[in-house]
Amino acid sequence: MNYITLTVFVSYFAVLFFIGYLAYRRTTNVEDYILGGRQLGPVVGGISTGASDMSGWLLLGLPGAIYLSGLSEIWIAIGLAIGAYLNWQFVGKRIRVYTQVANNSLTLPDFFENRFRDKSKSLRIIASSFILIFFAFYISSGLVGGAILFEATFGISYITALIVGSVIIIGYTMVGGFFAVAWTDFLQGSIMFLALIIIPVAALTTIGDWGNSVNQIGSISAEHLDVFAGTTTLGVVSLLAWGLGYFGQPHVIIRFMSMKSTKDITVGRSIYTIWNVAALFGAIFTGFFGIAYFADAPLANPETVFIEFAQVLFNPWVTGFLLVAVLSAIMSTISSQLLIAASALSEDLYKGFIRKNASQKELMLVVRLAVLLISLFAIVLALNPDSSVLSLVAYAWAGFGAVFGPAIILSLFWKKATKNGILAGMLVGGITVIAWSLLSTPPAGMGQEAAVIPFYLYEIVPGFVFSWISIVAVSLFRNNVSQEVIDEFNAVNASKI
Amino acid sequence: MEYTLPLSSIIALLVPMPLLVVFSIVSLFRQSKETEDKEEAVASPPSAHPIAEKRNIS
Repeated sequence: MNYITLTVFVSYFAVLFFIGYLAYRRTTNVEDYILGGRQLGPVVGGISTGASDMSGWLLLGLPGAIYLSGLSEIWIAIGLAIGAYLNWQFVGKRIRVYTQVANNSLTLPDFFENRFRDKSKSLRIIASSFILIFFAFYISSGLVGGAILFEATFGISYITALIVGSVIIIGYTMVGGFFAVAWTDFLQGSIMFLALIIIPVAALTTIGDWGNSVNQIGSISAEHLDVFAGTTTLGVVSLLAWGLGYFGQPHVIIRFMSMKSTKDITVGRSIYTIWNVAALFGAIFTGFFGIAYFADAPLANPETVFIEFAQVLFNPWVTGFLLVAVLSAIMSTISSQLLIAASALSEDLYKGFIRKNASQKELMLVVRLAVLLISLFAIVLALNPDSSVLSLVAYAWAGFGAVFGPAIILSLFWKKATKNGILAGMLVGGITVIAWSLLSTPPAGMGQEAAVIPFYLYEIVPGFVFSWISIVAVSLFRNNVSQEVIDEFNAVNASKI
Repeated sequence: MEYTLPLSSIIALLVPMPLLVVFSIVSLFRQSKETEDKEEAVASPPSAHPIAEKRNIS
C-alpha cells in the first residue's frame, strides 16, 4: 500500500466530511435539502454542474477512446459541449422561473404535475419511476467504478473498496443534502479541472513539442490524426447526438432550479462552459499524447491512460492528487444522482401519495432514509460487478434524454402542450430508446447488417424525435388546456427572464 | 515523412468548442453592460427625463 497516496485520499475524505457537516448546519427544511433553498451562486453552480454531469468517463473513458482510435472520437466531446451550452442557454433561466411560479416545484415530477394541474398524478408516477429506475443503475455503475479504482490503488478487496467508497459518499450526501453535494461537487470539479490541465501539459513537455507529438502519432497511424477516419455520417451524427441527452438529465436540470437568480444562470453558464471546454480538451489531449508517450509499451487497457500518466510523470504526492481527481469525477456524479433519486422517493412518492401533510421534520427524516435505502439497493447491485443487470446503465443517458428532453422543452416553451401529450412523449421516448437499442444490436458474432435495424444510429436520436412528435400529436389531437394553465404560462412569458 | 494535422481536424478542434467559450464571454460582457446601464438609469431617473426636469424647474 502506498502511504503517501493513502494520506492524500484520507485528507480528501476528511474535507468532504467537513463540508457535509457545514452543510448539515445550514440545512433547515426540505427545500434546503433538495434545492439548497434556491440560493446557489454562479461559481459554485457552474463548476458543480460540470462535476456532477461529467462522471469517470471524462478522465477514463474519453482519454481512452482517443488513445485507442485517435481524433475521430472528438465528435462526442463536441456534441456534449454544444448540448450542454444550449441547455444552459434555453432551458436554464426558463425552468428556474417556471418551477417557482408553478407552485414552487422542488423536483422535476413535481413540476410536471403543477405545470399541467395533473390531478390524476400520472405524470408524477411515470416521471419519478423513470428517475428511480435509471438512477439506481447509474449509481450502482458509479459505485463499481469507484470500487475498482480503490481496489487497484490500495490493493484491497473489491467488497471492502465498495463499502468504504459507499460509506463516504452516503455519509456526506445523507447528512448535508444539496448544500453538501453542491459544495463537494465544486471542490471535486476544481480538482478535476486542475488534473486535466496538469496531465496533458506535463505529457507534452515530456514528449517534446506539438509538432514532434503530431509527427510521432502520425508515424504510428496517420488515421489517428484524422477526425473523419473510419467514421460514417450516421456515426458522426450519433456521437454529436449525445448532446441531446442534456435536455433531460434531472441532476443537471435541478442545478438550474437551485440557482439564486436568472442573472446568475448567465454567469454560471459562462463559468460552466469555460470549465467544460477546458476539461474536454484536457481529456482529449491526455489520450492524444498518450498515443505518442506509450508507443513503445502500449497500454493493455486504454482507459487507464490518465492513471498511467499520473503514475509515471509525477511524484507520489501529485500522483495521489491526480488519483483523487478520478475519484472526484465518480463521486460527484453519484452524490448528485443519489439526491435526485431520494427526492423522487420522498417528495414525489411519499409526500405525493402517502403523507401529503407531512411536517418538514418528518420529510427531512424520510428524504435522508431514502438516500440510505437507494444506496443500499445500489450497493447490492454493485456486489457483482459483472452482473448483466448493470449493462442497463447504457440506456440511462439516452433514456433520460428521450424521456424528459422533449417533455421539458415543450412544457417550458409550448403553450398548447397538454398533460396527455407529455405523458405520451415520456412513454414513447423511453420505449423507443430500449426497443431501438435491442433491435439494432446484431446477434453475437455477426455484423450490423444482421440486426433487425441494419444500421447504427444512437438510440437517443429516434427516441428524442418520436417523443417530440408524440407530444405534439397528442396535444393537438385533444387540446383541453385550462385557462389557469394558460395564464400561468403567460405570466412566465411576461417575467423578464 | 513529416506528419501534420489535416485541415478538417484543425477546424474540428479550433472552431466548435472554442466558439462556445467566446459566446459565453460575450454574453457575460453583454449582461454586465445591461446591468451597468440599468444601475445608471436607477441612479438618475427623474432629472434625466425632460418632462420631469421641467416639472422640477416649475
